[in-house]
Amino acid sequence: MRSDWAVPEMKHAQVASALLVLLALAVQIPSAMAQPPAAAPAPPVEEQPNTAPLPTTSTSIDAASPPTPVDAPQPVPPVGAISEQPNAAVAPPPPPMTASPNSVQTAEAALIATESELNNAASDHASEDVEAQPIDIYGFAEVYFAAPLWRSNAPYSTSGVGSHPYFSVGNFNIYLSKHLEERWHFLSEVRFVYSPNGANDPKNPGTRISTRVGDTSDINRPFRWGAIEIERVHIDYQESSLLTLRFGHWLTPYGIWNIDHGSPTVIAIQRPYIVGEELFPQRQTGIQAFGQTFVGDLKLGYALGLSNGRGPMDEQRDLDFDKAYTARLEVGYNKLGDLKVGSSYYRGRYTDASFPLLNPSEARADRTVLERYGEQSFGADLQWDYEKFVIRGEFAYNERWYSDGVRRVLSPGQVSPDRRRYGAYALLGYRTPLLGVMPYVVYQDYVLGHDPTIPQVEHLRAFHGGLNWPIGPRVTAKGEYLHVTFPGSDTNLTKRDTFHLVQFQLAVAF
Amino acid sequence: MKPNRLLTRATFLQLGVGTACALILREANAAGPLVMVVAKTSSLKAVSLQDLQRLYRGDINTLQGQRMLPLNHLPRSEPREHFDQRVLGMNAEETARYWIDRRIRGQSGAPKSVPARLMAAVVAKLPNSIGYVSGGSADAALAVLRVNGKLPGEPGYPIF
Repeated sequence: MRSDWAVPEMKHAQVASALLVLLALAVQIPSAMAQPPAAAPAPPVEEQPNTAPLPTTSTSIDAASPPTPVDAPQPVPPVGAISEQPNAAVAPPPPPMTASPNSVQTAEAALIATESELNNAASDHASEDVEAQPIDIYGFAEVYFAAPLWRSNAPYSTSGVGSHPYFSVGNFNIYLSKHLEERWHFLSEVRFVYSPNGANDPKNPGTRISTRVGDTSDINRPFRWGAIEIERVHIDYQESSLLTLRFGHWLTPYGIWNIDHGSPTVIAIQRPYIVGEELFPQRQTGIQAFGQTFVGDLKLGYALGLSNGRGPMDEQRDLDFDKAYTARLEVGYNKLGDLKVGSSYYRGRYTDASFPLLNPSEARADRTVLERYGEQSFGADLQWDYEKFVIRGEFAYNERWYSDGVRRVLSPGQVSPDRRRYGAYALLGYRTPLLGVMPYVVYQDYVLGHDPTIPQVEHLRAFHGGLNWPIGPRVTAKGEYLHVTFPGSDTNLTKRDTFHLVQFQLAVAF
Repeated sequence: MKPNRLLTRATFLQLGVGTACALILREANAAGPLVMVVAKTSSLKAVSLQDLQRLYRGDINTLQGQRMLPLNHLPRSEPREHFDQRVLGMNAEETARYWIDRRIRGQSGAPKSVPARLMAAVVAKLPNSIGYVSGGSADAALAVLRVNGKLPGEPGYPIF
């Protein structure tokens, strides 16, 4: 073995430099070709980019390998050293090479600069200077096109899809992530939406909500405002791989889709019914402990959560004393491809109540409970990537009960019933060698139970067939045909039209 | 000959020589097995290929009880692609998608990347870091790890 393996690279680099210098001299490069005097020497060490806005490998160089939030708390140095790397498209230009008499000085300065880079790199990797680490901003977005294939006045028009072909921007999600201290990490994800503009007004059904207002900064010209949905905001403390504590507003750890959730990551276009209808709460606010370990070839993971549970404003308040809890266990095995099975459980109490009002005569605050029910959910999931085959499947079950009789009044004489919902989906895909295109099929079966808001439908089945084309790691195109049937439902609503449509999605991660 | 033509010719020649040199460097990097290295002061002497895979996929962050800092070469560099293929079992595109998917899920991102010429020096400077170099050779300030009980060059060494 060589005692100094790094030297050959330097020697090659020096040889290359010498060749270039000789070449430049041989062809008598005009003086205009020479570097201007100010650029010839390397910058002094104190001007090295410890604080300069040079790219870091996390944001501009290692675009495919983004920074580590928790497991490896070490941003990469903002070093000019990257300039010698093969990613020439994003690397800063190499140091100037000239045949000027001060080339020795230049070389010395370059060596000093290299030492400085090394110190910076090591310092940043050691997380000694977390202040210098930039906040990491990334996200995903999608554009969507759908063409319903039913009559313009078909009952399905009331589903929210409408009847006319349309384009839309679905998700536009931005993540902010930062390593705070050793073992501490922050992550937030927000989704920008055009809603509530255009939504059906629940207080006046049949009327669309308009957010059109005058822009006071632009002579009151009208514009439509949108909204921000806070998907998650949490602070993590990682004690070890076996234990991370998560505080804040987090995605409920269940199943596959709810965690994958980003349009570039999930295979199909539409969320399965059991996920979209939230048989488990999509997210909760509270504390969660999770971790994983390996036993031989098995990967064992768990998650335990304590939260406000579901509620009308559960991100900020719990309107009862009962905290909700969540548990998940999962097992992974990678000797047969990547196989993972998991099971989740949730139990909580939903309470909606009026805002407390002061009752001065009794010296107390009064409030009216509008609705209260207990609920529990159970789920199981399977994820298997075997060679080019991909299998995803989830089952979920939810039941709610109004044990103390505080039911929501939906209309005169009609109140929310006890309800049991369950369903499953299965996805099978195959990644072909043809541009990596994946044909896939999805089958869903979902029993809604009796929902007074759509009493005509208690059960539905859906079939999707589509193509998922990963144009690149960051760009995915999808096309899909969706066909839904309603077993046992009111035939007056379904006999004339078939619920089917075609849809396309272009999803990007950035 | 006009100066502009001279300039153009010189630029192309420089590009040509530069490309040739880069290819030579690339070949030099590709030679030999990948050598897993830690700082000389590290107590880590050996690692299994499975643990390496778990560490570099973000599944674990400790090796033999030590919290580790895995370091990668830059994407699209020869050692990086070699490592991803041999250890992670993924090509460059699959690796990129793997890390993008993890970030969208809110999980940890990829190990940090270090330019090849700084890898040895950074690993030597950080006691809990682990990196890899090409060519079957190592710096005196570094310790070479056995992988699955084998040293580079020995029969059965898994990261060739």
